[in-house]
Parts: sequence; C-alpha cells; structure tokens
Amino acid sequence: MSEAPAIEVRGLVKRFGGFTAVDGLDFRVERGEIFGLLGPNGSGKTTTVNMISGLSAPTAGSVAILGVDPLRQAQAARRLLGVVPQETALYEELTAERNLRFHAELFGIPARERPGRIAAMLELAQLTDRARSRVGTFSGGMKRRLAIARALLHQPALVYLDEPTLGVDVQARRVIWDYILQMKSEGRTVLLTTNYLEEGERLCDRMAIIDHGRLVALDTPGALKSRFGSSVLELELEAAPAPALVAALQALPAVREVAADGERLRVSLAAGAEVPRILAEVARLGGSPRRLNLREPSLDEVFLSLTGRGLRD
Amino acid sequence: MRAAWAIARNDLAQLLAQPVAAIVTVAVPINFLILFVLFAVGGGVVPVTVRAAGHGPATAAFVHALRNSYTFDVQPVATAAQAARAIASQNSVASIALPRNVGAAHSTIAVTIDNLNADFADDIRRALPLAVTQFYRGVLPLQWREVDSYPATATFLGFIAVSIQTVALLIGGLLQGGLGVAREWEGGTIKELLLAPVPGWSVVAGKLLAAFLGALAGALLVLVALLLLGVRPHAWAEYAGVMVLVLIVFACLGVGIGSALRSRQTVFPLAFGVGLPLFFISGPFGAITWGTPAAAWAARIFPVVYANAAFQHAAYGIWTLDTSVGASWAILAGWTLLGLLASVWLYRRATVAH
Repeated sequence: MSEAPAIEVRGLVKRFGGFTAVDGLDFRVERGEIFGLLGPNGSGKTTTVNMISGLSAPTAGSVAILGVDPLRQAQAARRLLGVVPQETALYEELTAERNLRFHAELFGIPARERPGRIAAMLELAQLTDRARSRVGTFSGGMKRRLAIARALLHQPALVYLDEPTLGVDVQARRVIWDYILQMKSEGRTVLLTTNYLEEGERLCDRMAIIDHGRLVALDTPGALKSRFGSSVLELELEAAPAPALVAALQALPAVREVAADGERLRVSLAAGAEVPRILAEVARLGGSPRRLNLREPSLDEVFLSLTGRGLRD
Repeated sequence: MRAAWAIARNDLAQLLAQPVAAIVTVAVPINFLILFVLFAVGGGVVPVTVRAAGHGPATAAFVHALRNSYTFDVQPVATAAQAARAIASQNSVASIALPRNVGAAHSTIAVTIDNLNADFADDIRRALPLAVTQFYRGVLPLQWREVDSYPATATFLGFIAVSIQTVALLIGGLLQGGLGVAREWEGGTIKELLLAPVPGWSVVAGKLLAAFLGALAGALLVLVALLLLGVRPHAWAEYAGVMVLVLIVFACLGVGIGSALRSRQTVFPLAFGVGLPLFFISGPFGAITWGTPAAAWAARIFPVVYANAAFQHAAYGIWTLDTSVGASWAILAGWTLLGLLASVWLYRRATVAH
C-alpha cells in the first residue's frame, strides 16, 4: 500500500442503461500532486469522481485510492479521502463550529483532540470570529472555505475538490488557491475538477481532459497548451489588413494560423514564434497597429482543438 | 453506535435551531386533540326548548326523563313564540310542547324539528320516544336489566382522547423520521453522511433515534393533555410499552419514506394522507367491528388498530378488538421489526453505490 499511487483508475466504465457516461478511463494520480480533471458538463467528470469516492460502482474496470478499493473497503477509503462538494453540503441551520464538530464525530476524531483541531481549521478558514454564526448567514466564499476546512479536519491523505472556485469572487478564489497549494505543500494529494484554465494552470501539476466519458488528453498544463493550443497575438490595425499582409504573416515560421476580421488580426503562434519579427513584418507591409494583445489560449481553445467543440457547449 | 448518536444529536440540533418549525411539528397532534374534544363536546347533546303547559309532578317527571336521555340539552321556555324564535335563531334543534295532561291516556306531545340535516333531526326522532319509554318505565309490563361488561364506562371524550395518543405517534413518527432524512437530500448534506466512514445502518439508527425523540416530545405533550382531561391510565407500563413500540414503527416508516421521496414537501402531505385515513378506520370512536366490514378488514392489516386497542386497554382496562391481547402485541412487535427492516432497506436502496 505504501507504494500505491494516490489514485489508480483502470479501464473504468460506467453505463446507465444504454448510456455510457464513462468509457474506458485509465489514469494514475501520483502521491503529492495536484491533479485536475477537466471537461464540459456531462463529460463524465462527476461520474468518474463518484466512482473514485465510492459513491458509485463501476460497470467495469477498477479504482483504487492509495491501494484501497473504495467499494469493498469503503470505510478505510473514506478515512483517506476529504471531499469538498460543489454545493458545500454544510448544515445551514447550524453554526460553523457545530458543522466541524459533527464531522469530527463522524470521522471518529478523539474527543480530546476535537477542540484543538476545530480551532485550527476555523483559523485556517479565517472563520474563528464567526465560529458560532449560522452557516446560512455566510457568503459563498466563506462557505467554501468552511467546506475545505471540514474536508481537512480528519487529515486525509487525498483531498477532492469539485469546482472549488465556481461562483466565488476573485479575492475568495485567490484564498482558495492558496489553501490548495498549502495542501500540496503538506504532502497531500489533491484531485480537483474545474472549468477554468487559469485555475488548472496555476494549481495543477497535471490535467486530464475528459469528453464523452473518454480521456482526450493528459499532461502538464504547459505541455497541453503547446501540444494542442497556441499563444494568440491579437492586433487591431488602423485599417483592414491587405490580403498580402495576411499571406506574408501566414508564411512566417511558427505562425500556425492567421485570421482577419475587419481591422482585427488574430495570429495563432506555435512554440518559438518571434513576436517582434511578426510586428516588423506587419509594419513592413503597411500595417499600423493601434492595439495589440498577446495572450495564452483559453481552455475553450485547447478543448476546441482536441474535441472540435467548446468547453461549455 | 457512536456515529448514530452523533447523527441523532445533529438532527436534534437542527430541529432546535428552527424553533418555530420544531414547535409546529411537535404540536401537530395537539391540534387533533383540540379538534376531537370540540367534536365530542359539541356533538354530545342537542339543544331543545321545552314548553310545559302544566306544572304538576307528571310534567316534572317527563322533563326529568328528557334531561336523563343522554341526548337533550333542555332549555325551558314559557311561550310558543319563544320556542319558535329559538329555532329561527338556530339556538335549538327542536321545540317540545308538553300538554297540561302529560301522561294521561291519549295525550300528545307536539314536536317541531329544525330538520336542517338528518343527523340532528334523527337524534330527536330517536331520543324522544326513548324519553317517553323512560317516563313510563315504572308501569310498563316489559322491563329490562342492564349488565355491563366492564365495571366502569369510559366517557366518549375519554375514549377518543386516548385514540389521539395513537395519532400523535403516527403523525409524529412519520413526520420526524421522514423530514429528518429528506432534509439531508434537499440540502445536499447526505454527502457528508455517505462519505463518512460509518456503516449505513448507523445512519439509519441515528435518524431513527432523532425521530423517536422528536416524536416522543409530541406524544408526551398529548399525554399531559390527556391527564389534564382526566384520563388516568391504570396500566402505565403497558401504556409506555405500546407508546415505544408504535413510535419505533412509525419513525422507521418515516425514515423509509424520507429515503424514498427525498423531499420534505412530499413527506408532509404523505404523512397526513396516509396517517389520517389509517387513524379513522382503526377504531378511534369504538370497536372496528361496529363499523363497515371493509374498513375493519383494511384496519386489521396495519398496526394502528392494535395500538388503539392496546392504549384503551392500558387506559381503561377495556379491549376493543376480536384479536386477543397477546396476538395484538405480537402483531405490533412484528410491525416494529418490519419497520426497522424497511427503513434500513429503503435507506440502502436510496444510497447504495449503483
């Protein structure tokens, strides 16, 4: 068990009647890494995670959490796993402290250790001063922080966060990211689902992209982008570009695609592209840039290149 | 059991965190008690005016017979106009005019009935001849002798009130059990339970314990009201035993229903929709065999009728069923076991990894 990966998924299949939600997934999450599971709604992410956490039984294939079968050894697996559901699953009528105490009782944390651990988690969630407030009075960000604190209360080796920053403001998002990075620094393995490339890129060591229940790609964020997406140079010119300018840019090395739309030019770049040279070429052929923007491809664009459809279609 | 106890305490904490909802749920059976008390008190006697032309001993004896008929609330009036006004203003159901020679051969009592509906009108039609019979009882050639099965007769109000104890357990158990589980599904907190390292049976046990304690509060409230109404159970141990068994049965069924429906909005009407018809066919007013055979047959299937009988037995020492005491207790015990199995099965069916 000591050498087992944090998560091992082999040939995982889940069918609901005639519908195949997960279709032969294989991946492995190493201990101590932050692993992102990406995909549009209905791609099979949640079904996959439900099977990993033992809430759903696979039709075929196998799942192991740190070498433990989450169905056959359910109680052992649940002790290893801390879950932060998207809907937080907090008791809104009860106080923050009461929610944590109930979790501690369920997970069999010894009574003498409970006050200390609860206090520490409330401090981590920056909710010490709201410990005796009802959760129903909390903002979305506060609830998410409390849910994270609750998931960590029993000190799990593996933490799963379902869309951890969905619907929270930018400031709260940064705080949650810090928590997730802190989990990694403490040696925990983190599995998260997200629709945000920025989040995946900032947090994840590796990301798996799932579509129609199948694994479409699995790699580090940088490798995924370089393999499947491009940096994008967007130019707004004083006048619509001449066809010759478009053709000349297209001929430059490391330029994948040039698209003109009125006065705008969208230049997709491969690794090694030289932006100064592109700008020089634009100037040489009479183009006069009014604005320019160099950005990373969006997850939608990466996903589009992989599947032919957008992430939120 | 550690997890079960934690789950029960968490449920009770949620109940106490919403005091208005808690009071409403716990106090529901008291509403029934008030309703039935009003029914028993209001429907017991019929107000009638009595206008006597004479004032002799025969007239007094007949008025006495009317008053002792268990039917009439006698209001003496002096004139026909007063009697007519009492009917017109719906203050009496009938006016009874006694002739001066009441009791003499061929004397006639005039009765005007406010026949708004058959129920009250028939009360008059039945009770007046009985009063006449009672008046002449001393001289009738045919006499009768009453032999009672029981040393004392329970009042109608007392009899109905004891049945309310069953409805308190029935509705309370279904509501507390059902709402406790449905709330977890609606709030998404069921995940907290499903992802905890505790067996499913301990979740069910925790839910049952919380439902039991919540419904017990309502049942004890009804018991206090019964004591205030003068009901004094002569077999407290039996009373407590049937209370515990019936509460377990309906708390179990409530947990099962909550697991299957997962919606408080559905549990609420279902608890009343199932509970009230069961209550009404299960002998709250008398022996089920005195009613329609089909209803009696249906009532025998469910535990409510046995609970009613056991409560009446514990309260008054009377037995209202043609099933023996021992068999009835065995049926209640069987229902308890069935309820436990059903709650665990329905919870597992709702939550098992599929």
